[in-house]
Amino acid sequence: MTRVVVTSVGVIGPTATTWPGFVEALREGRAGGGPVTLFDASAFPTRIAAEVQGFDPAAALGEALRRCEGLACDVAPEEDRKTALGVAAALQCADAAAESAWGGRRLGVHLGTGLSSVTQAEVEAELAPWLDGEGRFDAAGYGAAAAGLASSAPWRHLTDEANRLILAALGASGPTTSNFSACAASAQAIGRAFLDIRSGRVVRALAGGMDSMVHPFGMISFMRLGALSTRNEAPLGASRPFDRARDGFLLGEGAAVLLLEEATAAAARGAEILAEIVGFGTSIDAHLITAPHPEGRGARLAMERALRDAGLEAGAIDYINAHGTGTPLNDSTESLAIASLWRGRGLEPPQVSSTKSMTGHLIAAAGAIEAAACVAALREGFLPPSIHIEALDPACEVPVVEATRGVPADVRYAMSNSFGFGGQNASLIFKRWEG
Amino acid sequence: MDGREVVITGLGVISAAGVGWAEVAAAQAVAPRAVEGFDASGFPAWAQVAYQVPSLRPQPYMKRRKDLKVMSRDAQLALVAAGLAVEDAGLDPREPGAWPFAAEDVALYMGVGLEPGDVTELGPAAAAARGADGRIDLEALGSVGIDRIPPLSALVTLPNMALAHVSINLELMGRGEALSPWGTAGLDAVAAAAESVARGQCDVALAGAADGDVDLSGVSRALRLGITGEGGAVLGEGGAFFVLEARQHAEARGQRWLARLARHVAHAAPTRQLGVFDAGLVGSVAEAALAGLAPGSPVAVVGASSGHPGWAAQERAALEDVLERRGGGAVEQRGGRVGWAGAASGLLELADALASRRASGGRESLVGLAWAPTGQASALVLDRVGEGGR
Repeated sequence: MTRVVVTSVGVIGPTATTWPGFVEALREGRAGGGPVTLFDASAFPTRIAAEVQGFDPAAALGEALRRCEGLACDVAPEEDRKTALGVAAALQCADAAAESAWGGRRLGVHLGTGLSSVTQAEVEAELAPWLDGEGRFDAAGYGAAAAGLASSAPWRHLTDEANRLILAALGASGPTTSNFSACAASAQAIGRAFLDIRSGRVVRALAGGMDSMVHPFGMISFMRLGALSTRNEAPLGASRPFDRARDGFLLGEGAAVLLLEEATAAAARGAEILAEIVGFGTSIDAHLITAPHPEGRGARLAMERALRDAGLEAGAIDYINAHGTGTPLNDSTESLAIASLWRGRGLEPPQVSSTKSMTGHLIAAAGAIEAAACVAALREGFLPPSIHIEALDPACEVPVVEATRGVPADVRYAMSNSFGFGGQNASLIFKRWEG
Repeated sequence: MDGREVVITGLGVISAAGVGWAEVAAAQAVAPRAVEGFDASGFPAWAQVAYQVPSLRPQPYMKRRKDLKVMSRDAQLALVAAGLAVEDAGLDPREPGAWPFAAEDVALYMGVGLEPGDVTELGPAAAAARGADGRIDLEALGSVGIDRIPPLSALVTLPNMALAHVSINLELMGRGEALSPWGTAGLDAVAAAAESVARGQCDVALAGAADGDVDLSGVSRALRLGITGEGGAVLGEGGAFFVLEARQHAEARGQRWLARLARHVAHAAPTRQLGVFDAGLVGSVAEAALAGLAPGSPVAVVGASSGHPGWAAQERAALEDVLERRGGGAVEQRGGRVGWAGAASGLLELADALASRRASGGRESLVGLAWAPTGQASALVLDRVGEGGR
């Protein structure tokens, strides 16, 4: 069986913008989050988010363009933080792998991506000028002007624009996919890269995801669903998965990209191996578009399939990085799914935590940054904590890592869960590298 | 494909050519019609026509008809195409528990398009928040405009909701992924599903794509990305799904099959400038796909140029060159029947070609191609066409 390993990680997130920094923040239990600074949210019901501090999207996209002569990008960087975050994390990951010459290489690029939504600038450029006083839209007037509109909306909406820029910047030739399975997108993208390498289609691939919905219409879409925390006065403690008083998730933004390689190829080039990826499972709830299955049926199926794919018994798992969003429904149904899977086999569930308590919910990028957290746990030997728990919700009957800092532990196998709107689920299993 | 043989046991297709494979195959000539659904009169004349599905009715496949309010056109097209495919595979999706095997084991892989819905849906909110200078007043948006945005709007515009609606209505709980590289998503989704069947992760999978982007934002986007234009492609919509099965599984239940999935090839040559059709890339993918077929065996390569006259000429030259080196084969360009259908591009043309073979009894292998403006190309090889029974 072909073995697949992780040899590099790039992270641009709310708690850190480097891989070492991310590991350190995870170990120290340091949370991101604060008042929204990317726009004036003062009149919004939710005015907090976990933003990436100091991120310059123009510099990130400019770096990709600098690496490839003639490469063009028609998005306005400030309008497309998502793509810029993905490109930055991928280049950070590639650079850290000490592979300066990707040119001519068949390098897979598989990224999960999220809703581009509509930005304020796009509404002002593409909608407002053709609205009358009653809010009626003059479609004919819009049509006559469409060809000359300056907005970069069409380019920003392309789901695989980041893939194009990354491949071009690295001089690589694919294969490449983008995955749009909502909050499970980047976990599924990592899974796809894993399958591609295991089946021999490629030797190495960059895999992960990116997202940023911290803009007015992006945040509104979640507010209208009632999904966001409104703890505006205490943003650092707003993300509290498994806590009895959780009231929704803290919207985050960011990107994480892992370099996956066929193990012997990684060893042959002397790469430092951070962890092994051994299992991938997906499922669909087939229940409702608005809520997970009440018994966590789909979540359990994804975990079971990942275990089967890895050839593991449930008892082998030492740690689960839960999807753990901090919404009332998610955490209880996910707990139910975990408890039923393990206790149904006469086993106590492994230690569970949600690193969203620190990073917030990165939506399409969540699976990738949480895969990175699992790699850190295996590599560094600690359980990432679930911070901000004042009173564990009795409906969450799993052993939660209630701590303010990482807990030293011998972690051999770690599972990462990602569950998306629409009932799309993914579980990944990572193993400590033991040669 | 390594592992078990994977065959197509059901074909569902909906396009401007018709609803269902037989209707599609019977449609001799398909022409674009005046765009319906919004006032397109301000757009250039060539953007006022499209290959639209004239009467889209997903209701027969829906468990709860009130869900129609939260289904994008992508989702409706997907549900019809998926339902047709399942019926064609000898199953009745309208019967609860229709699957004669565990629904938990039926996978669903889908190519999804760009975000459905258009910007005009935000009209009431924008009108409430628009200041005298035409800019959006965020204080007004946050306090008044917000309530004018439908609560479930995000769940309508998430592309993967098309997959969710299919899974809910057809009760599919197997493995599932929503792939979205614009242009190759459909073929890539079928290939991912086939791999899952071949590896033994499931015996049955439903796989395909749908795209219904002929709305105001979609027309504007295609125009500005250079997909459509004077002398360019015409926008289209539609959906195509295959039921894939392990051959042994299909034959054990007495189900005829239409073709075997023999091979998938995907290359990327990222374009420095978006929207430049790369005939060389498409040709190289076709060449790699054809390498898996017996030399000289009859084959038709179904192009990816989506009816764009300029692209079609480049593509034909590249493919004829490849086929000449191989020693024979035909080029088919069916984009003039379906237009540019985003995520369903390529797959829709391949389904169109398979439907015609089914009607005519044609048995040559088919190589379906797809191309994305971001510089990716995929090919899917169907061989043993028509050998699996009636």
